[in-house]
Amino acid sequence: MNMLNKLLACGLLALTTLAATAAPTEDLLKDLSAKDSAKRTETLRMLAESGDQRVVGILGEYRLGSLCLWNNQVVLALETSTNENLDKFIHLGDVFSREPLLDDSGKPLVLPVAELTLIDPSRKDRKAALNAIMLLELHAPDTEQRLEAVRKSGLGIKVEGLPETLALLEQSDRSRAVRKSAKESLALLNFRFGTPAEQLSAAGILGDIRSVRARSFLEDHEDPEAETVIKRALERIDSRERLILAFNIFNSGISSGSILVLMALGLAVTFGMMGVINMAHGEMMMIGAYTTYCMQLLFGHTPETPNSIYYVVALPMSFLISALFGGLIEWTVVRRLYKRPLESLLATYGVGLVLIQTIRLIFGDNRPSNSPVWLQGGVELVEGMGLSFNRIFIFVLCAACVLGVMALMRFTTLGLKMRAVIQNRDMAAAMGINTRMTDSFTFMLGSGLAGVAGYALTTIGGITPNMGQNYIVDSFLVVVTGGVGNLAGVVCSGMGLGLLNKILEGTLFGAVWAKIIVLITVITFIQFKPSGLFAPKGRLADD
Amino acid sequence: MTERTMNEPAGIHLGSICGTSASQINKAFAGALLAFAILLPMLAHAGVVSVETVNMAGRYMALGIVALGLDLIWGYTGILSLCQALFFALGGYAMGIHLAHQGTLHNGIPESLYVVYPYKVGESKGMEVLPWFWLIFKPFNLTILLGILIPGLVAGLIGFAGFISRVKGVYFSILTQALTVAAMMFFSKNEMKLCGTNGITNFTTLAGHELSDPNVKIGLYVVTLICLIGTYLICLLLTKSRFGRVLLAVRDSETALRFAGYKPYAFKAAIFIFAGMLAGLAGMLYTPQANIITPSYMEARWSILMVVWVAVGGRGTLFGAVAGAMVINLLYNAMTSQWSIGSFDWKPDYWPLVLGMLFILVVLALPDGLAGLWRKMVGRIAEVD
Repeated sequence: MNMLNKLLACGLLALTTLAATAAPTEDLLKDLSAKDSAKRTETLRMLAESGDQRVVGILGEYRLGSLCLWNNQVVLALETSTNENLDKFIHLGDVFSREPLLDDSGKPLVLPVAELTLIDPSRKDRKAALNAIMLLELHAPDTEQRLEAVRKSGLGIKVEGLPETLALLEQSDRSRAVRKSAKESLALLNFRFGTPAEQLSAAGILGDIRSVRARSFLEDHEDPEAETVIKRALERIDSRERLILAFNIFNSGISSGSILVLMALGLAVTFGMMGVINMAHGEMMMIGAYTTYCMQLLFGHTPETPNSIYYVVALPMSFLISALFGGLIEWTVVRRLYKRPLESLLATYGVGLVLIQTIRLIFGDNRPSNSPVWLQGGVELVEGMGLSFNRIFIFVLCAACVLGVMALMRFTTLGLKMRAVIQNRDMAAAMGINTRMTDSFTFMLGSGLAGVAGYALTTIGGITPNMGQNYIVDSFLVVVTGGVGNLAGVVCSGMGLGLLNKILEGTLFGAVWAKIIVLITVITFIQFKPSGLFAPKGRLADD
Repeated sequence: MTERTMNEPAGIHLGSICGTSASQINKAFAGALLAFAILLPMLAHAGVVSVETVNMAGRYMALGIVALGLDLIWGYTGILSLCQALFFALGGYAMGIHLAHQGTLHNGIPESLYVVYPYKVGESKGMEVLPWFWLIFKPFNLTILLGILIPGLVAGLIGFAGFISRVKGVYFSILTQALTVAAMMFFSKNEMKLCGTNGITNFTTLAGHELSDPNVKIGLYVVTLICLIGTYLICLLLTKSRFGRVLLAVRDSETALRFAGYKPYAFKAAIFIFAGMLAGLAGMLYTPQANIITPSYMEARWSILMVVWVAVGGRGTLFGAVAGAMVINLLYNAMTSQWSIGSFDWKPDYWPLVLGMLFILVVLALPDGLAGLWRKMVGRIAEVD
């Protein structure tokens, strides 16, 4: 009796969750053991139409022959065992939850085979169950799941009821993506399994919607009558593929360009404006990344317990900490080397070595970074064209930083002083500007910007002590190409180099070749325009 | 004016600062060092020092030759080149390929190449053909010639292109750095048939001599020592000549030199080519002693490290450059091994910290490097006398 109560409770639970469909599902399952073949087929059809996602798993078990009837209830055979007399016993489980059923004393329920009616599907039933599973997945309440199932259905076999279901989805589904996919899958099915006339119209549809997935089927199809239609469809698909390729190249180019600009922006301030070679710039970036990592630890953000607020706090923190380190370096090392730029290269490289090794001794080699929840994932514009949130974020951050630095230079007193010191140090000093302080602030600003770049990089890569080394040569090249001391030039050259790299990489060459070609291009470019894209003119031009 | 005195090199004032006795001290010291260097192989032969020590000294002397070249272009001419590592590696690869020809072969293909690129080495499987740039390094004499000429040629291309369009100072450094990075990627690619990131290794014989034989190791040391002394003397002659004085003029005021009717770019390119050749020679001497050459020798840190040898030794003095290379490498050797004093355990992990501090210290506190320090000391002693 206890057992029955439990089953009842289970049923009630199911009732409350799936109010309308639950009870019929239970009853329908019982009919799977019907003697009448037509009744079983009908049952499977009804199960398929019920839309009850729990049935997907049950039908899978049904196909394997793991269901049995006990006490007028359908139960799941979890496993079989034999005793010393070679009698077979079956361990029973609940069909919905897959939990073992318990007897009165609370032990798992194990019954001899003889007391149960095994439900053994025929070959035809198995096939029908497979169809039912496919159709059920097409009715999944979750849009993502449904979309996935709809997409998959076009490449699978044409099961009974599938075209009708797809047609229904195409007409009346809530989600636009599902409607489009249903249309594509339906056309694909028709093209692959239909009559010549159906194939012809399907080929037209596939061309109309520029279905990339249909390409291989269209190419393999040999039918002289449909040749022109197929050719036309393939041309349209080609154009779509080219568009997707161009979009993806552009997308990744812009994104790697934004990282370059973000990195080079700080360098444009320290190197471009002050003329200091800061080889530890990459390490300022690394410190920004580690600050972000520390914030992540402090706020206890892990994939299991997300606490994305940390990322908001980490932005000003990474700027501040990197700026502090920059100030320290300026105060101890760089200040003494303003007139010896080549030696500042060596000294700051030494600073970089010390920083890298210190961080390595403290934190170890590789630290995992977990993006905040709202930067994970992305949006898919069309199939194959996606924008990920972290790339968008980096682009926005980069734009904000560029505008911020420009505004700082143009509209604030500090910016005015900076420009004055850069243009004519002695005259600025004569006007009462504290050039030492201004130098310090400029250097701190540059270092802080590098910290922000490191902060942004944590969303796309791991945090390692020598992460800065990968970017330092590139960022120097960006600044040199853009023209020293010119923010607009840095933006242009950073984006330009990022795009050029990805275009070469995406079209003709591999990643390494693309990189080599970009490097050589820049080197050649500087041969002809030694002062960069936007060369300073007049008095600012060097001796 | 202030800027000039800051950049003033130490070397040229040597005569004026030091009296006769100071130069005697210098000579005595140099003589002692030379005697030690010559005695070292004999000591090894007698079993007093291990052959490994001699091998190590040989390697570091090869690096001293790179430092000589770098000192000529940086210390004397004021061009900070960050692609000496590239020239060094070019020489190293020339010798490496030559040595690989004499090592273990698989179907006629040297092992290092075969491992990385087993099939498409030739046109098809079964008729493997070595690429032409492997074949030209088969004869020993040609290898020696090419190992010096190729770095010189590359240096010529970079030098003429860069100096004619007046790329200077920091820009030249960054460009050469970028070029070295590009070259490293090029050498790291497997399909370039240059053995990829693994590099070339497992050498067995050089001109018919077993490389594992202690006598051959000592022999390589002697050859390196002779090369070092030879190149040192050539550099000395060069710096004392009119040519050397033009180099100093390039460093101190290129514009003034140009107005005086000289073409600075020709002098810069010439000395750059010479330094490149020296680096190539050094690479060729280094590779058989280190028994490996990989693209990692073209990493940024190597180029900068080479500059630091010169900075530590004292730029503008040839002796300082060699001494800097030796001292830093000996220091590296001591500090990347594990030892402990009392309860303090030294770990190899600390070495980058020391090196980094050394970079900063030398630039800030010792602009003339060890040579400057030595000069002060000797000057003091000479005064006392």
